[in-house]
Amino acid sequence: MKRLAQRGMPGALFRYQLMANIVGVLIIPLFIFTGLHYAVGGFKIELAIFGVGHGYLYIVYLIAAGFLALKARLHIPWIILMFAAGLVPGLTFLVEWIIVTRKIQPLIAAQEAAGASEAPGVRPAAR
Amino acid sequence: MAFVRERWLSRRAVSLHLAVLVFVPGCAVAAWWQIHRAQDGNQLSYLYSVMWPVFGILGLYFWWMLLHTDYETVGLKGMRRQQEAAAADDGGTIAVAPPAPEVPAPVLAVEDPELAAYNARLAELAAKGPKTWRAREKVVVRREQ
Repeated sequence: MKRLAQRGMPGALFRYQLMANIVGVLIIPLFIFTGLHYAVGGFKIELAIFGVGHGYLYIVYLIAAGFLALKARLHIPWIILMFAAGLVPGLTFLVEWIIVTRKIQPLIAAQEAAGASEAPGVRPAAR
Repeated sequence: MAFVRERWLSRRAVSLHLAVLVFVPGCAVAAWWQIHRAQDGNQLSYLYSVMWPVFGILGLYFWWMLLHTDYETVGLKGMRRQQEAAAADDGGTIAVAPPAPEVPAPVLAVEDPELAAYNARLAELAAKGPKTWRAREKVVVRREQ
């Protein structure tokens, strides 16, 4: 809970990881029930629950992912990949892992190496 | 003037403009479609007709933020550049990043050779840093029979 409200990169990273896992879990039953709905019929209540739940939590996911991307200065293809990952079952976890290990952790390590207090290059504010 | 051109008319900026020009009307059309479905009696569409405008607004917000985010002087790339510039000014005395401290293999009171080998392996793995796709573990460790 403390990390959820933390400022800076660690907090943004935690919020992104939390939302990626929630959305990544919700998209799987949504896909299963959509398939069953068109194959067998019925399942309207399940579709409503998971469809609306995923839809609205996906908005929160977009905000979390977007803020992390802005903070870490990820390039646009990576941002598109992050946004799209919330819509494909399974891809959410893979993209989250790639982003965290390849992009965010090296950046955090570099910031710590440069000295967190006086790193001139990591101001969060846009120019 | 060049600054304005770089911000609003660079290749990156123009691709952002194009993306937002496709995405935001798309969200508007989808919202309109869901509003009509809601009026036709689809209860679920009331919730979706709120969601689509939010997607459009988010698209506009991130378009604006990405246009006004400086990629050259901030972030990892900017930090490297500034450090390189500082190192060049000082005649290369400042290291770009301090090297990671050497991790000594833990010495235990009981020198079991198998345990020592295990600890050495752990220290070796720890020295390599986190596993990534670029630095993968290719060696399969098998215990000698």
